Amino acid sequence: MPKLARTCVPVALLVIATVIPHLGTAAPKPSSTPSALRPGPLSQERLVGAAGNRTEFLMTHANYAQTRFHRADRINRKTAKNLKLAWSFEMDVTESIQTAPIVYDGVMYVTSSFNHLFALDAKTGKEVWRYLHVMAPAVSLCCGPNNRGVEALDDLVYMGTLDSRVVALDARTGAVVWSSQLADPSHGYSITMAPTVVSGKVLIGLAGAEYGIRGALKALDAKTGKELWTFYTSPENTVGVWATTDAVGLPLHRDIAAEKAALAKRGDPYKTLGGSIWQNPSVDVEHRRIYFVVGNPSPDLDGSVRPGDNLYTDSLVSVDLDTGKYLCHLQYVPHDLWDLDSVSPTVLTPVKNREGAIVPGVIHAGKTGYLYVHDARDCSLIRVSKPLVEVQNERALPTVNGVVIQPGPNGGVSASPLAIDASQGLAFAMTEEMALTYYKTPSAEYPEGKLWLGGGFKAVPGEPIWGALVAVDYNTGEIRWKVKKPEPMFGGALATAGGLVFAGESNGKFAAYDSSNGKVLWSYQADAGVNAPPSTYMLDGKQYVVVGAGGNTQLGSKRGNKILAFSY
Amino acid sequence: MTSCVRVLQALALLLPVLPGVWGQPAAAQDVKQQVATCLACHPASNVPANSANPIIWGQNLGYVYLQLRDFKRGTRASQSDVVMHALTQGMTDAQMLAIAQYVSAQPWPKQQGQTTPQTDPAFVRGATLAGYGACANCHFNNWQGYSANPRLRGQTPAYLTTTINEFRSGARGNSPGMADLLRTYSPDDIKAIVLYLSSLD
Repeated sequence: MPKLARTCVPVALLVIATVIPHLGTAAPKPSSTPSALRPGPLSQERLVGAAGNRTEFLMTHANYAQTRFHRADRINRKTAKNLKLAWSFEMDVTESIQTAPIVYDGVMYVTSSFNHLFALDAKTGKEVWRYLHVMAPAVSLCCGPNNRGVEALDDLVYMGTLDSRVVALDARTGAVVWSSQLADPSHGYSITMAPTVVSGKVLIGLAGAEYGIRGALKALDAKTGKELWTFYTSPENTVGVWATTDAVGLPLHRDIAAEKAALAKRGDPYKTLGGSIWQNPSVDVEHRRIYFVVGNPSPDLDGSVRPGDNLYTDSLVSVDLDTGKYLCHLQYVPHDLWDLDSVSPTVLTPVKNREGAIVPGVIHAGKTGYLYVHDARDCSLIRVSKPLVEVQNERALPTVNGVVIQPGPNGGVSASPLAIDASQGLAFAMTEEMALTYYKTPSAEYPEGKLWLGGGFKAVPGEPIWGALVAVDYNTGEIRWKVKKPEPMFGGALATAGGLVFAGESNGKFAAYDSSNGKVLWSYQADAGVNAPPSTYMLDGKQYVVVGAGGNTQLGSKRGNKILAFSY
Repeated sequence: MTSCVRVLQALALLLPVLPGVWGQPAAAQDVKQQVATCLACHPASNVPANSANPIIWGQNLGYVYLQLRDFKRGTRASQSDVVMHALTQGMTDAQMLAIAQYVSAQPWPKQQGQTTPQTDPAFVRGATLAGYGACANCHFNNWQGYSANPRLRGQTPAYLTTTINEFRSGARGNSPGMADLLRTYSPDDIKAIVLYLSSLD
């Protein structure tokens, strides 16, 4: 029986039974005027066809390949300058917004921090219904009370929650149809990602590697919430091949003999090895397989208590959609000592291999600051881009007195999803340029769901912190253009057939860029940080671009509560 | 050791064997009566700045619950936690949750005599140093934190100093990641951070 079922779930059940008897029941607050909008059912066929959809935005990252490329082109390089605010909607929470709005049948679904979910009329921004989540009493969050949005199938909308549940709501009313508790939040388990919903399954990952969780991706029955399969991101043998370099070829400075001795003494660390999943898997529906990346090991910075490569942390992983069985992986940073986890969602797109042939590809950009291009058939690495960010002391070992390393936990490409434009062979990445001083501290054993970092880090006084929007040619690894920004870029990009890239900034600027050269064609100044991925859709002949302006907890950017829709 | 601590220590040793005090399931109406004991060391108003006992009223629900759990288990067991360890021995999980719910629902009391102005260079230095450590990632919402991550804003300087030093020395071992982050600061830095956090209303 899995560890969770033995030790964590009974505690969670006790919590549920004693403190929050209404847990899992509906908490919708219908608007005063019933809406004529009747969304759905959203069929699997429509979802499969999302990549060709010119009018709706059906998934968090646009389609199962997660290209964040949309075919609408009414807003384009010539017309972008005409964009104006069409409507705005104020959510009831003023805190970090990372939601990626989805839109179908005239209804938009957005989320706030703390898992409040709003259905809006996509034309006017008027509220159709809201669901106010009742949180379990004890949740531990490393990086803010974030939620990255929802997905839908048939008549239901699905959301993962900070207290480690998935709730399924009636898309028309917001009533809770089912609620499934996946792990114990009082032991550090949480969910911030949007689910990916496909073929009757809700795919959802657990996070909490700052608290010593055992990470997992789960498939739930979309109709009932019943668990269908679980893929643990730390299998029972996490040792690997004792790699001495990372995927880029940088030396890891490991003391393999000491690690082997620790392994013999301590056993495999898989039960508390971390391996969060922060973002959606992408789906190859035709071949019935999914691709996702796994976050850092626990504890983040101390390898002495977790000997081995720590599979599958910091890795690209592919598993069978129907069974969850392992298919292939590639580990970017074996035995990570720097919190260089893989966060930004995978993108599926044809790519050139080293011989110049077009093959099915997977793209991921990491906190390491590199963009990785894989062969989707076996996860093998085709190429690594030029560094997207400035680097110093990469893979240096932390010391007691501190060593400055760049990028670090707050650097490279974090949770921000890429957008790609396959017609140009470009991936658009938002980067964070930030050095940190790493400190070696005494080891600590697993603290039962409490903060477990294994080392210290903090900003370098006087060192500039900035960011950029970077266009990378994924068929060569070269950087096509880079627009530098005064603050770290975080949120996510959207590319369109209009030749545009949309991206927001922590200072509240939201802009449309010419995707071929990075020239700013239009911008808007919001009253809070725009640190969320934009979406786009068409209604009554007009194209809209929509984005959240709520700031970001980790970056400290100004908080807000608005969803902004632009059109002309 | 204060007389309050001595009395409570003695009382705490008896609590697990006294029926109807902590040993029974907490009825909602009993919680207020039960937490009255807490007032002896955790006043609900006009808290002295030199109180090494923390402000608990208005503290976040998840944090209070998990600390009670840790006191009971002995995973939070520094010298200053002896009383709480004893007090929690007879508590059930449900009681600890009920107490945490009650405590967290109360207003945060004001301190006496902690009035460093925000223009004071020491205050500004503390704010800057706290920013370097990304402390606000967990203690967000203007240092009010959320759920298992505690409110720091307006906490007493004496308690903050004590518990930070216990984290740094390893005496407080129930959040080793917190100890790691605090060890990156010098004692002078810690003083400035404590002054900053405790001076916020």
